[in-house]
Amino acid sequence: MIPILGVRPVVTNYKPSSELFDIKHYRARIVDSALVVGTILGLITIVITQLDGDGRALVHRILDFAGFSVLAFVSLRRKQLRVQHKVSTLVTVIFVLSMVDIYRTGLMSDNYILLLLIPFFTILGFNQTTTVVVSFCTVFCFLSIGALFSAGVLTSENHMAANLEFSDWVEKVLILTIVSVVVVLTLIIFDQNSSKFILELNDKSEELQSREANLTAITESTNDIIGLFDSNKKVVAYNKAFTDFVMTTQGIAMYEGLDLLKHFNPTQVEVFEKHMDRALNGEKFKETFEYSFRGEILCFMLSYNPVYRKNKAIGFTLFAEDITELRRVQERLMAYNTDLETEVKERTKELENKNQALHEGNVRLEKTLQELKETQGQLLQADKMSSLGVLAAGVGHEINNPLNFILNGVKTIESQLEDNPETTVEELGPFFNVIYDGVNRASKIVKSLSRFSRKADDLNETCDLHGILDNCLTILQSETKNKAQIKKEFSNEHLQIIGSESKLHQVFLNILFNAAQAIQDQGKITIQTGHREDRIVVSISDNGCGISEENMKKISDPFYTTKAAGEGTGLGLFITYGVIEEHQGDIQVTSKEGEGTNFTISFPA
Amino acid sequence: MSEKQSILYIDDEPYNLLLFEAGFRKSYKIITAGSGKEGLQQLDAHPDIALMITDMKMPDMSGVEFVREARKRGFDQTCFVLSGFDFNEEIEGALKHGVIDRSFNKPFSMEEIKAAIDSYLISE
Repeated sequence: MIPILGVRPVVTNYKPSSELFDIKHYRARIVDSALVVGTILGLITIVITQLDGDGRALVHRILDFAGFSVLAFVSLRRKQLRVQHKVSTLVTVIFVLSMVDIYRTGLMSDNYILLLLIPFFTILGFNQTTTVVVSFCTVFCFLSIGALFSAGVLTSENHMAANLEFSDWVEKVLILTIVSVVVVLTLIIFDQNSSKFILELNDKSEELQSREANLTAITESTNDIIGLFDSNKKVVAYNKAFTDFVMTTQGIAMYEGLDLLKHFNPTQVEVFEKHMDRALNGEKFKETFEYSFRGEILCFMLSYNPVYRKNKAIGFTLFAEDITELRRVQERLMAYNTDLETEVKERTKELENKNQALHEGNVRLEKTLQELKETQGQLLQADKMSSLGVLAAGVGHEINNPLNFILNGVKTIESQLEDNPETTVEELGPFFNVIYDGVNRASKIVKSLSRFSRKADDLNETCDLHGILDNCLTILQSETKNKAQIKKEFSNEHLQIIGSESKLHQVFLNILFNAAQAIQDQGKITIQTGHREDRIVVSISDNGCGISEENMKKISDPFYTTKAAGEGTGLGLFITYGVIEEHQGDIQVTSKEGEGTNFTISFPA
Repeated sequence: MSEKQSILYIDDEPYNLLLFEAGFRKSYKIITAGSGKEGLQQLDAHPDIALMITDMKMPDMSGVEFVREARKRGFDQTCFVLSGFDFNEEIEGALKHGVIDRSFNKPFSMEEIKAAIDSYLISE
């Protein structure tokens, strides 16, 4: 809201003052002026008549003087008297003096013209009815005197003839009446129009004052500094906040037309000058401004708005908002933000470091895992070799028998043919059978061994569990045949799992070998296979020496063995557990010392 | 040497018994047994047995154990042991203590064994 230039919003307590514009005041002033002028004129008249010495009767002179005295008195006391009283007095004096003069001189009187003043003043002090009544009374008195003259009752001292005709009197009355009516009507019309105009003016004034009060209420209710400047950059209007600011900071009182620029330091003036020039060029803008006061930096948001009249910038308003606190909060926020960013960066860095460490750890772990796998592979191989070493003697023995069949079978056939070349094939038949059997047995053992010792570690072979178990029994034949009765309770179905045939050989060889070794004298090894729910189960039981509770905990530890050196490495069951786990299998061991041991191995079907 | 001398051969493999008998029956009277227990019975049944050859590995008892048992019963003739092993502590010990006289590895050479049998039988 831009105040109109030149209207100074100073009224803080709005109070209607309609009496200031009341028509009655103008009437009273006319009456007062008339009183003063009448008194002065009366004085002059009296002085002149005294000097003149026109020879009038003393009684008239006294009358004149009395009239003048009343006028003078009322005139002096005009401020204290009510307008009606003053009008009554004035009208009475005029009436009396005029009538006396007319009575004395008839139509030759100069004063009858004063009768015009009677309705004029009456209308100023009273209403129209009173005026009409007073006017009629005056006319009646005037005509009565005229009648007396024309009847010859009264006679003029100087011009008798002029007063004889009554029609002359009526003529005068008519002239006076016309003039009076014109004057009074003019006055009434003027009065009415004025009243109307004044009422309108009052309304406008009230509206203006109300608007001004609203405006003031707005400008004074804010802590923002609001000022209006003219094209010379001088203060035209301002609010209390502005006054207070200037008083506090510069120690000067604000007034209209103040050139504030004179009171700031040159640096500030330079800034303000630039701002003001921009505003006067019609630019509407905002700028921040820092003001150092008592060691404190106050920060303002200055808002300049040009004020136009007829498309020309004739000044500008300035709104200055104290944003010091806002700025502080902003700075704190920014600092906080910076802190936050720093912290985030630090945290990110930390995280990255941790990530790096984790990654490195992972790499190390992977390497370790790889090494572990390699080691495990090596262990597996070591166990295999060890098993082979332990088994070598037995296997060797087992293989030597069939070799013996072959060698001596051939020799026997040879010698028989040498002795008797006629020997028939039928006669030699048994020896051929011996040779065949030898070859079959030897090749079976060799095949079993090769399937066991093959170095294929992939877990993608289809493994026939029954075949594997049979192979293991073949390899272990020399270990078992003299002491253990092998009881095979294989299921009728083909039990196949996906895995490594070599590794599974190792598993069952280890378990069966242990079972055989557990049997000291004579015993029985029972092998059962089958499905249990959705798993393939192999159960291997012996009735050997069993495992003590104490040793039970250690059976899967690497290098743990109860066997004599050269008979076992202690790797067997450790490897066995690892391989079964690798095949998603499960192994359960139950044992009772002196009664035997059961290994139950299950694989997902 | 009008009559062939009796030799007892013990082995749990029937084929070995068959081959041994076929290889040596021209020269000796071959008595066979499939186990240690059977061997002892044969010893009792044939007091004329001049030499005994036993397989080392048998279900009921080892070759050396069998010889020890035979010796306990008074058999003091030559005893050989046949074995699939190149080396066996039990056999070594038995040789050292004179429980057995010689040991042979399988597959055995008939000539070698015949030479040994002959040398022991002649020296007696």
